[in-house]
Amino acid sequence: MTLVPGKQEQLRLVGWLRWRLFLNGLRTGRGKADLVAKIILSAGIVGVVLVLGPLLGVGSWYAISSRTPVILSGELWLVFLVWLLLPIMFSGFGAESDPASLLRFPLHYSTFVLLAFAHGIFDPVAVAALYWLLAMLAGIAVASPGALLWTIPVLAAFALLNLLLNRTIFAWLSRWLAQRRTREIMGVLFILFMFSFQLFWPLAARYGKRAQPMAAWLPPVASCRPASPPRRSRRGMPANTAVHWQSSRVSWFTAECSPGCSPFACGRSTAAKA
Amino acid sequence: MTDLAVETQGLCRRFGELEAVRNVNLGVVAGQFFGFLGPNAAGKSTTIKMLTGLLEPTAGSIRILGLDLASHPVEVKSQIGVVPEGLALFDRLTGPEYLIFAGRMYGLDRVTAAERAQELLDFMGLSDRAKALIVDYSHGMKKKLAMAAAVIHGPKVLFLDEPFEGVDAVAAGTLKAMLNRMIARGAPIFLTSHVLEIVERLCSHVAIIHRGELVAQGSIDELRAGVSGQRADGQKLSLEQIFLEIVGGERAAVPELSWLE
Repeated sequence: MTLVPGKQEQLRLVGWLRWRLFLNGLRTGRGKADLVAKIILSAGIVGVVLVLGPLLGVGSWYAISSRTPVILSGELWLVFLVWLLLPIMFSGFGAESDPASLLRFPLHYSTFVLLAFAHGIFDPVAVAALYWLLAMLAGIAVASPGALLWTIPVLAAFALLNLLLNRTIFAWLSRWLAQRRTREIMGVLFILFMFSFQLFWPLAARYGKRAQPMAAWLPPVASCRPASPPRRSRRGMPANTAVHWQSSRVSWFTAECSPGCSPFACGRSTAAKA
Repeated sequence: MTDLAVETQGLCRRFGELEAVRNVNLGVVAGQFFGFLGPNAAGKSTTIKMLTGLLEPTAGSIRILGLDLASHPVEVKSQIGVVPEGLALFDRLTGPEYLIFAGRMYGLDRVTAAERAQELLDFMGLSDRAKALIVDYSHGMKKKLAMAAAVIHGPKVLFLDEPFEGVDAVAAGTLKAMLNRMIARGAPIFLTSHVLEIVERLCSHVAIIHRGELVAQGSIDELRAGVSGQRADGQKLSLEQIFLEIVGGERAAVPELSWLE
């Protein structure tokens, strides 16, 4: 009987596997073209991510300085949506590196958990989101250095929750995406999502204020607001005085933990209505 | 200590409302070539996924080589070989790379893994495509590679999910030769297959699952005796006839197609 390799050796072997998959992917002309396209696309995305960081930092600074917590809510919403939705959209284009593909081997449970976690934390979207959160933290620190003590655990909890929620969603999606048809549907949804940006401004310009009928289906969405991150964040954010800052720390902490729960809360309320 | 290499008790698996496997009690003795049969969607692949630790049972227990799979998954997986449904290969590796990776994951040292990989590639007739990526392999070549990866560490039990599906006669002959070597070593083989002729030729024992329930289990002669008893015509039945008697007995008459009359 062979001796099962230790955790470090298993991680090293998986690292070797990923490296070989990457190198072999470059063997074909298509693979090389894919790499060049990815480099160009990545450069553009990295540029956007880098520019957004200082903007979010300045936004956070302004939110604290001017006592406008709704800006912080908006920024957290942006981070939350980018962190959770973009990886799901991109997942339709391939799940080759899914750690679940290694389950047939005698993989230690801790190794598997570490791989799944690493797969999530080294995801480019997660790295970008963490960078934005750091930028927000810097903005808050400049505006109110004393706020750092409670802002760091709040944002850390927010990041950890998003990471775990992301992994939870992917664990559920991996079974769903195992079917080719589902992957195709996700791919089509992603393309439609991207096209929808092209249509947004022309439609807004054409219909303008006549778009009131849309309000008809807004109430169900609005019913989720009490559990939504911006609403909960705003509740916990300071209103006018410095004293309010102190009293709102705990409430803001719980509020920032709510983004992960709010989609489920919305889903449950919608399901209950159905 | 039981002498059963594979044993399940009250094995169940639900997918929401669907009960894919219901109260399955299996027993495979060491050295047995065990065929697991059933019509489409009967629960064969679900059962083999549970037996190999790829899917958690909703209820029931699994013991492989005397070890409880739920409490000793790593120890069990290190002693079994698996050719899963869909093969689970990494398309952008070469054959040798995949075999070496599999061998190393099962605990072989670098030199032994490389030596066995080369030997397996030679045996399977894949040496001439050693530099090709798996994605460029034919279906039969992928099956042979998956089989090679399943045996590279010398498993004590082998689980094969539809190993002969889509495989030509030449490749099937190679695979059968390898399986017979495994049996000669005393390692039991548990395989699912739709190809009843192959199962009849290879397997000494058979279990039949139908709509998630085990409806027959035993040696082919025992199954034949049971069905013949029911028919009372004394005819020696093929496995296909036994299978149809057990599974297809309640099937309604096949309607005719109007344009093929």
